[in-house]
Amino acid sequence: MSDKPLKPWQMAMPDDQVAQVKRAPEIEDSATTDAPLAELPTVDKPTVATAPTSRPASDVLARLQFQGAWAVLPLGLLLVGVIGWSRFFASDAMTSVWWVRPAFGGLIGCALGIIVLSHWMRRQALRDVASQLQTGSLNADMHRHVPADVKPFLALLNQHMHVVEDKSSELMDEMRQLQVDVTMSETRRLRQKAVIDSIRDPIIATDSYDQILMMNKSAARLFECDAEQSLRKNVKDVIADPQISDLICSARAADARAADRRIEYERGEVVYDVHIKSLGGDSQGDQHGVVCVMRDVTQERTAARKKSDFVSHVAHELRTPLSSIRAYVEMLVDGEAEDEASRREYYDIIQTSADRLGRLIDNMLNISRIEAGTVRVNKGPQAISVVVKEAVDIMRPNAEAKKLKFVEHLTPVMYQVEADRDLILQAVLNLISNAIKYTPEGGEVVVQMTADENKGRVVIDVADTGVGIPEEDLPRMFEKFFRVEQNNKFAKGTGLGLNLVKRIVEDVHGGQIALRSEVGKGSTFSIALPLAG
Amino acid sequence: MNSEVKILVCDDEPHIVHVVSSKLRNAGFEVITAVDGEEAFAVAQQEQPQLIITDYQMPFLSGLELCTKLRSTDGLSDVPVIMLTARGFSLGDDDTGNTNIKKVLPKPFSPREILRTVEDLLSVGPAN
Repeated sequence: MSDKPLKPWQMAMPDDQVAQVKRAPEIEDSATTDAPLAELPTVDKPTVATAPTSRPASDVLARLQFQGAWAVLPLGLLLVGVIGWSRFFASDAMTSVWWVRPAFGGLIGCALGIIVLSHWMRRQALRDVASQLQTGSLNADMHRHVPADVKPFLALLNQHMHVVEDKSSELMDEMRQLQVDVTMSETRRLRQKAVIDSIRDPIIATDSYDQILMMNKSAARLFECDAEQSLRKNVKDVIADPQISDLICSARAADARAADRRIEYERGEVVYDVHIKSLGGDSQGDQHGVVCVMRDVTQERTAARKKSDFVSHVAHELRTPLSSIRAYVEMLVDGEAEDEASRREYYDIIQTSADRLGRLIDNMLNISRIEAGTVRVNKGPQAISVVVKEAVDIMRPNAEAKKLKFVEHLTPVMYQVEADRDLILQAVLNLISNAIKYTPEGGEVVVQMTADENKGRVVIDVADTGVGIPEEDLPRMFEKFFRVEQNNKFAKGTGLGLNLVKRIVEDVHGGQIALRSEVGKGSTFSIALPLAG
Repeated sequence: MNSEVKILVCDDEPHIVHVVSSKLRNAGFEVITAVDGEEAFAVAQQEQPQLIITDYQMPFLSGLELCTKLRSTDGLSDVPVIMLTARGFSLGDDDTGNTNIKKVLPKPFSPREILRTVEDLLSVGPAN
């Protein structure tokens, strides 16, 4: 007997039969190698082998089963009956003893009955076995029902079923492994999809028939379509803009090595750097799909344009004072200034232009350093009214030259801010300078300071009665190089001063700058700085 | 005589107007000035100059807009124009196609070169 525990559907074989099976390895071999599996009983599930319910009829039959020596009984009876009948058939005993004939006749009848009954039981038992085999299971007690001459075949069948069970088990293992692989593959696919969907750049992949293989959410959003429903559809049916769909098709139609395409594509206000590459394909590179990656380069382009504008503005602003310097120097060299007064005038203009050039360069460098975070800041407690007073004193001659009323209302020196004195002085000077430049003669410029201890800040207002700023220009007043076009005629400027003030106040000192203005009535610029301590 | 030639100089930079005017006056030309495009157009209509020197970037009416406007104005359409520009590149044919701009001089410029260009365009000799 095998050491393996028997499955419920397996028949418990007598040891002699097991030995018989072991003695006939050729049968087992042929059963395991040659017997077509299709001919073996179908086993739907190895675990279906729940023991069938016992059948009362089978049990009765089992008790009446003729096996071994019992099989001799009907043959003996038949033999005795036939011999007796033939022996006494012609004798007088047959006629003189009345019970002889019925007795031998009875023996023969019983023998035939037993044979018929035995045959019937044998058929019944085989039918039960066949019935159980059809369901893929065998009652463990069934071997007792099976005629002895059938048992070797049943043992062989058992071996086949064992092979089937092993094969089935192996297939089940493979199936489970495949299910695991499928699950893992699906998980990987979903992860990859999540990764691709998380990319902000639209991505589209097509096959060698221009059908969409993959489209991420960004692409679906851009081309206003459903990513899943677009799969297997022709790219031209999904992407309405021929600029992109034609490009994808032409890249696909080209040889894989020549499929690279790169264009700049504008959609609304967004600029994309579109790059199409081959996904590879057959060895000749004739049949290949392509992947189209659209990188949003709007910010880069905007930055590049701003940089270009900045350089252009800087160049323009530098050239203007430089033009004056070069022209007046040349005039002096050529002796075009005929008298001392003219020469003096030219010298002054050259000096003014040089100063303007220097201020322009200083402003640009300061802005650049603040933007880059490399400005050298020397912060310390400063009596803010002293700094503002210094700025007022510096600018007073300019105000008086334009016959302006120049008024100051300063806070006590006790209010201090943690500040870089030179930078704050520069900021206040810029505001007062602007106020004087854009206020017509006879106007008024007021510098007012207010300390708010509750809010922990000091506010410096620079108000004028000048030309004012149009409402639509107010949001742009602190942009680099922005100037109110209609106010250009009142004063020259670089368009950098207010930007520098904003950066000094907000970026360096954590304060705030505000602006109120009305055309024809004047403007008020307010700087709020946090009080020290 | 150069004094018979009237030249309009237009720039929103007073120092530039002053130096160009001085150079041309010293050469004997009659010079009239303006500080922006609109004023230049008004002065040109009134004074009918033989040549105009203008800056490119000016308030209200840029130098290019001024030239385009002059081109479509009777009596001023053929007046030659010298354009001064602080832009980092030259003006192309697309910019100057509908104007009578004869020469573009980049800033910083040389007053000598301006005078030489004026004399070339007017084909007049230096003042005696």
